[in-house]
Amino acid sequence: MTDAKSYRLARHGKLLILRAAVGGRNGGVVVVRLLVDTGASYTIVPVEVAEALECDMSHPLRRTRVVAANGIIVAPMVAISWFHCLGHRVKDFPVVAHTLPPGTFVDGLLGMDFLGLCRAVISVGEAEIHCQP
Amino acid sequence: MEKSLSIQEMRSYYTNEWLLIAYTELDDEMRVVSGEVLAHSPDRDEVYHKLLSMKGKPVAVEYTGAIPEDLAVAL
Repeated sequence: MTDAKSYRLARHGKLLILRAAVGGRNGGVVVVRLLVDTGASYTIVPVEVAEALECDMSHPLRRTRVVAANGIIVAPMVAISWFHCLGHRVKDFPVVAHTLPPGTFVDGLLGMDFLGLCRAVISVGEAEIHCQP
Repeated sequence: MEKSLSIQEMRSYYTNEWLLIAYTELDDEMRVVSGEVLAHSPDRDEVYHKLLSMKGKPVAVEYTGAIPEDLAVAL
């Protein structure tokens, strides 16, 4: 952890939230709020954000089964032109396009795919994430 | 309203609403510092729908209300 950089998270009750920027080939950028979710395999962004960034929703990379609160849904996985969070900017990052229920107050989830890529260490008590550069 | 506002002004003008903001400045945690409010609504999905007409612009989605401290999420 010697070279790890720390990033503050917003704590709301028992939830930890941060912001990420997602970019499209059309030059569009959308900054969204994501729930840090070590229980999510993949990062999720709203369908509307993926569409605004002109992701090819009719020809996704694949469709993936997502176990959601209301059952199993099949959602498209699409490549975001770039995804920036926790000091890491990843090109052609695959995300699940799925709009969470409004009552969650977040736009999506930061899943284990990105957290693993950053070699993130989450300090729940301090509401911080430590990432390797 | 087509003028740049600070995030504090946005929070006072649009209480407990979802905002679509063409930001002019973000802080180092990607929180909006200032920008222009392009759309606002208490209904998140209305703001999401407006995203589709914002292609090519840098925007942020923000909620100006407080997230309930007792909110539990099980996805």
